Amino acid sequence: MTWADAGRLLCLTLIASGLVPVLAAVYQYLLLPMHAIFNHWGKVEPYLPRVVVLVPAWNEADVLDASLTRLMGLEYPPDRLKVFVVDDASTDRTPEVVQGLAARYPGRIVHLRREKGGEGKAHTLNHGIRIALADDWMEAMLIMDADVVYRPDSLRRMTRHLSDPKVGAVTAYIKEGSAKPGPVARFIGYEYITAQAAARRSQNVLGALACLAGGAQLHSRHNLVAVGGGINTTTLAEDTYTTMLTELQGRKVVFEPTAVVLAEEPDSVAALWKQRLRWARGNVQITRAFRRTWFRPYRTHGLGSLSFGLIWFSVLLLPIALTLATAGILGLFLFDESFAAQVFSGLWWVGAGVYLFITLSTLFIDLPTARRTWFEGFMFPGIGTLVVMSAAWVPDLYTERIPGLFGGEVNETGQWWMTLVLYSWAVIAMSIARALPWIEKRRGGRRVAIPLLYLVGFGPVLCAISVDSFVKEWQGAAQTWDKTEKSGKVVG
Amino acid sequence: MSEGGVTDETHEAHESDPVRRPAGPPDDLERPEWWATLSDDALRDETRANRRAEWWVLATGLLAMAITVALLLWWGEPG
Repeated sequence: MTWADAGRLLCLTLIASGLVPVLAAVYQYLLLPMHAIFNHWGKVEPYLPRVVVLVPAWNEADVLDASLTRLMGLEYPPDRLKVFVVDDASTDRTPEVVQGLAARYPGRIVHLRREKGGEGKAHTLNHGIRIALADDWMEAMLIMDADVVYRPDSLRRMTRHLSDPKVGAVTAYIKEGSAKPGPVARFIGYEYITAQAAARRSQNVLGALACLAGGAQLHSRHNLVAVGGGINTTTLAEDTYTTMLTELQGRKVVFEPTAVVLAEEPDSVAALWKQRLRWARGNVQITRAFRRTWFRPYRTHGLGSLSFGLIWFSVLLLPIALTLATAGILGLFLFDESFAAQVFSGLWWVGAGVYLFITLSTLFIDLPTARRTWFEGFMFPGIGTLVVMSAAWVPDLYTERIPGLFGGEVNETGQWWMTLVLYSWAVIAMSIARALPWIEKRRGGRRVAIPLLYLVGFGPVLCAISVDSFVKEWQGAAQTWDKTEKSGKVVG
Repeated sequence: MSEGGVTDETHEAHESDPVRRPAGPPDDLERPEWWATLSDDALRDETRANRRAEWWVLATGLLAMAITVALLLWWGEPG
């Protein structure tokens, strides 16, 4: 083997690493339809336990009235539902709002005030969990966020799964529910179909759920006690930690796709970055905390299975895989331009097929959300990536055909640079994405940042946030709980 | 209406009666209204309806795959 052959082989290996997350995504979407057959509904019975709803609240005066009033309207026996609002030393009108609601619904809404706040959501939740567990009235606990709105039938659709003693916890389908979502919120609306309605159904089939949604996690009392009677306070992803602990102890966690919960999501890139950086850092911490779990199959849970590990690490390491694949194709380009062009074309042919299959599957499974977000669905990888796909499909499209329409042509140097940009687009998109929050904060910056968001795509923004989370964790940056600002624009 | 404390015996009873079918809603109620009455029959019917509706996910998965293959064939190979 010559040095050139070894170089080619190395480049192809790097490129193959970029295919792993793509194949993992396809695998999840092939599992998804299997949920029609392999689901938990066959094992449930009507079951309406006494539920304590725990609502952590720090300066949530704007949103609590709507969310708590909707809770009081749940189609659930009123004598089996109590709401504990844990007010984390709020400095706004939260105490007055909650006390007003407690007076309107005596005995059903309880105001719990922490005089010392600011320690983070897990500490706030633990305050309420301790109080609820001290009394044997509670049979199950629903942990939610202050701003989310539960559909009237949602809670009973969740509790029925607890009729199976093997189930420890249940989560619902959180949907973006703003009355008039802006571009970022619409991207999130589409993303939630992929990340929840689709991915969590697949995880139900696999028998291993990655995460109970923070805004909708129902635990049996037994499960809460078994995981230590509280929530882990050392990680930024306390909901994922509890999920995995539950499964490691041999109890099932189930996603209920028909229990719908509406949430207000960030509508600026900066707010999105803040929220997702916390989540991404939390996932890095979880990966470390459960390092002895990955790729070690075990009879009582699916977290150690090869397939679940592949899915988990494909999401976590996606930006690294894309960067390695970019390095591989650029390396190949230096060794052998025509071979690089063939590989590039083949890769993006696969990419185009996967893009179409995943986008269509996603839009079909939640048509009401699809009507609001279909454009963002098709723009999810970004206009730039769609251009790259088209260039892979028709190699001379941008060098000859389009310039030819205007009677022009691109010279050799121009073609070389264009090829370089096309081959490196994944990394270029992540780099532009990294600058978006900064651009948005400048005066008039939103008018530039939003078109750029459509250019680079939402996916690359999430990848850039992952990279930021690796850097922050490596630097040991302060672990602060940055609350996402909510204004109460969710509609039921 | 089932309260808390479901036992293993409850499960065994239903496992031995797998073909049990809940009655339909009264004439004056739509199905979702009937489910909201929270009677055992209504809740069982709701679960069965949710389970049945899930076949939509299988159908759409196959449809998405068919459309993708058709479009790729229509466009042809790269080049």
